[in-house]
Amino acid sequence: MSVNELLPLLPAGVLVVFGLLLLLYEVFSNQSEQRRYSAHLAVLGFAIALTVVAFQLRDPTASLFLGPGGLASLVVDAFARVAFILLMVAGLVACLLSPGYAKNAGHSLGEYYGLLMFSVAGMMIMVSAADLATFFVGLETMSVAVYALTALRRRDVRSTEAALKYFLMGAFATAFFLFGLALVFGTVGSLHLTHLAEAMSTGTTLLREPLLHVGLLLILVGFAFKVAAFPFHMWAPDAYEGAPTPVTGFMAVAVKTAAFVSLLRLIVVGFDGAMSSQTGGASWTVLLEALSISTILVGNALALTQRSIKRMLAYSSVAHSGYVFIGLTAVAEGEASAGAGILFYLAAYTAMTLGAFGVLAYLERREGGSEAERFGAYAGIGFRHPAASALMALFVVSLAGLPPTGGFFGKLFVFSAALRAGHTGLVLIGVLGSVIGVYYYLRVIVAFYMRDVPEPGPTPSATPSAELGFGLLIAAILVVVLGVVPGPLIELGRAAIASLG
Amino acid sequence: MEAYTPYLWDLGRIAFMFAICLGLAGPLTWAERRQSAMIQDRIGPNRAALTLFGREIRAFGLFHPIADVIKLITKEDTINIHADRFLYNVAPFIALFPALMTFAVVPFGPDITVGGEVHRLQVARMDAGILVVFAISSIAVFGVTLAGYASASKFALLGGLRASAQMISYEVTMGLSVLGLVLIFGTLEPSAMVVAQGELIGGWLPRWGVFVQPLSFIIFFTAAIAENKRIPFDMAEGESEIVGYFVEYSGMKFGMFFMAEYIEITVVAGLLTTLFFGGWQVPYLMDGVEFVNAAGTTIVGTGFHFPWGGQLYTGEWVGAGLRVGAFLFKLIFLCWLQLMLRWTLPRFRYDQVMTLGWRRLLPLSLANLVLTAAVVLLI
Amino acid sequence: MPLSDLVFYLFAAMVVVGAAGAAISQNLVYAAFLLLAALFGVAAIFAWLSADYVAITQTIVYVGGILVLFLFAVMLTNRITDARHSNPAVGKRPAALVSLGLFGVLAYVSIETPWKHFDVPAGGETTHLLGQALLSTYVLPFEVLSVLLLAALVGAVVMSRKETPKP
Repeated sequence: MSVNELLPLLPAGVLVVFGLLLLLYEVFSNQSEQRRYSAHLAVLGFAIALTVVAFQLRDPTASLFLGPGGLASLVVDAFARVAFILLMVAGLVACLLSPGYAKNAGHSLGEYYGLLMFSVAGMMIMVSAADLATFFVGLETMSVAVYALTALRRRDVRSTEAALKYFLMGAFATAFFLFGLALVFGTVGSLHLTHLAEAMSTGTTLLREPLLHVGLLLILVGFAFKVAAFPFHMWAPDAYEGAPTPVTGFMAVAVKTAAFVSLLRLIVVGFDGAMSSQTGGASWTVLLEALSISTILVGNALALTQRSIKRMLAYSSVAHSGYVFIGLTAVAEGEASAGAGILFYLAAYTAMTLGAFGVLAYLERREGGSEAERFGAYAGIGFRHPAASALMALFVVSLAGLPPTGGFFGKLFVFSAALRAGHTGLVLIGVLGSVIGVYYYLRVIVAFYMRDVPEPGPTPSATPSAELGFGLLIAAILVVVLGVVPGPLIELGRAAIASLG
Repeated sequence: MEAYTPYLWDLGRIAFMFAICLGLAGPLTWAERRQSAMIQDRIGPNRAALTLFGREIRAFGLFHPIADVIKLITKEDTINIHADRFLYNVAPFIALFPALMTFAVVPFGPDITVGGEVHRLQVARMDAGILVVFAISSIAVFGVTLAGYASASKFALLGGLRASAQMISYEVTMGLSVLGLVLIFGTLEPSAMVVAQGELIGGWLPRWGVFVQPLSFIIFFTAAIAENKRIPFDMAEGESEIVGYFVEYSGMKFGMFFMAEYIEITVVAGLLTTLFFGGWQVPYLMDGVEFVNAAGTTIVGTGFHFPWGGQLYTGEWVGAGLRVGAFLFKLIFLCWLQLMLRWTLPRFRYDQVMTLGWRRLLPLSLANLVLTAAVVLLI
Repeated sequence: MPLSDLVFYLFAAMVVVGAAGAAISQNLVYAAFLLLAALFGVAAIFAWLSADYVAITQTIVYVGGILVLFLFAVMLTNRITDARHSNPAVGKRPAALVSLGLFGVLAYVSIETPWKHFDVPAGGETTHLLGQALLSTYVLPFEVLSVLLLAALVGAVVMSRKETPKP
């Protein structure tokens, strides 16, 4: 294998190298310098990697690390590259949101950004893996790095609690996933998606074997944990609330995107043909349906009752997982356009969720105090921080799925694809959930703008950082652009899905 | 009868292994006490005597190990009231077991052919033999830790903690230091390593591990002594401070910890011999080389080929005997060296032990590994 | 029953008893000790399947590495000497119900399934083959694992080192 063949993996390589550089910078930089360039180094790394992907976007599909039978363990196709872009944008914006916040909390910056880059590199392996063993390694790289990120504020009791819950639940999910892998390997005799597809295609007796189904079910449970879908969502609110806010944003966005995108690949490539009802795959669609309905209803219902904005956003992100599951159900039925819809949805979700958490991080810094997350504490914020509040309003409107924002088109694409696949009931549930969502999202705006200011209010404690503003700006631009000209991205998404074959 | 022959060979090998391990433990305790006495200008143990036909035989205190064993066996077995009885009783066994097991992968002689069948002089020949050593020896930590915990004594707990921390720390270094040898010899199997050490560098220097990997030898030896928790690394015992994880033990249970230490000395010596001193290899004693005998005919067999031109035919059996003898000689020499180290070196402080392990030896062994890999790649 | 089957059931029983004991035991040290039995039994089963390299690695990593750290951490916790109730179980009944249900499903399924059979190689150079496979076919996961371990290492260091004073 020559070095040229590895070029499609260059973006991930760039991230790892920059992660290492950041660690070295942390070690060798002057203490008094405060390592103030860590964030810039990280952003530079992401920018370089993004540029590389942008240049490679039209490259043909690259199959790397051929194993027995000439099957690649890693496939960098247009689908993977689009996912790379999504994940790296999430990483980039998360880096931009962090510096002031991280410095304030007294973190070790080099490790912070290094771990962030390692986790994105792991996600990139996840989304391009063509065999479940490789996928698992990527999954664990991502997970371990994110566990560490959530635990960074270790003097803070809630952060520690969040990290512990996230870690234990994550480890639990990993055990399920791994057990599922073992069972699948036991029946199929391979962990490669192609072999899985062969085994599951019409006519083989394997599909009748309960063991395979149990194995796949356990794998699905592993995914459901990572995306915080209904019965496995319990960790999300505590983890989101306790983790450092930029990390929460990153966790909510990138981890979910990576998990959903790779689940999409698993369903399209690995379950190829197995999902149609003739081959006994109907139960799978029912399962996905049940997951999406329960996740939407539970997520929205619980989000309604929350008093803390961070917890509300956590439950609402559970609900968003449910919407994506609607799209996955349609994909499983063979509706390819739903795949493009999911990619679009994830892009919009990335921008708006990161933006919302970014504004929260900004306000936390400016207002100080850990109670700032309560709705009540935000009374009149709209007049004290007009710019940040305006951005928050934009993100919240997008999260609620109102036009002219990315969130609207995301829902539109996913729901319309589901309608084409004949899931009218599912779409109705989704719309109902969105309507509930409008209520609790608007509560944020009400709190920001329509409550009386209790007192003169605390004076701003820290100066806002330019990086944070820049990050919020990127997120806002993305939300607006996706809402005004959704065409290019959805085209890209279609091409990506087409490349899966 | 025929069917049982392989099992008999197995039994014989195992018996030989135990004979080495257990048989050396007693003399080693004697040697340690006598030697320390000499070093410190004392007389040392010489009271245990045997009266035969009215004459008192003292034999330089050689009967002391036997007397000690009798004392340990007949002594009252005390258990602390708050002790965890099950773990307390099981801990000495866990400590002794790995010490006895590790020797299984050490080859004590070349393969010999008896009646057309090849027999190995090694209890277990496994593909990843070196790793077996680390796997088994890592169990030893449990004996120490559980003993410290189960005794319900603060000193024992401290000793157990110190021991486990020290053993974990040096295990890493120990494993890394061997990797250089693995790279050079291209195998993880001890007997194959010994065979590879039979070659000569430049026609005169045996290709022993100590010559090709001197740094690795020093690191491994240091780490091995630290693993065995002997002076200068006796943090876990610290006779003058906390006495150690076995402070509450008495009788033969204490004896088992004590034995484990001396068996480990043997094991360490066996490993050092195998990895770094050519195992059973005798320098210039080679297999399958040509000899011209007095009658002028050429025979192919085992014998000495000296670099200065001389040669001496020994034949397979004498060669094998010489080799087993050489193994035992190296083994005993290295045991003695370890005793010598104990009585001539001052103790480290706890933080010094940790600093040495993590900040000196570990980077050093990593550097050694990288350097060796580069050299192996280039050559 | 052939002898080798007997050996398997022996070690399987060791694994099950060890694992169950580790889950049920109220005493953390006992839990760790029983986990030792379970992990060692797994290693033995690997060896029984002629995967001696995997067996050895299992012992080194789990028994020699992870479990020792467990014990170490347990011994560093407060009031370890009266740890008999340091690990109280909550929600025993629902947990037992769920576990038994899962056990029923898995047992049924594994009896029903015609398992794929692989020929177990009789001994041989598994180490060599594994090394070849790891550094050729699976070199990517292998290398990614180094990133994973580095991330874990960095995370552990960040969490455990002394905090630098705030500027």
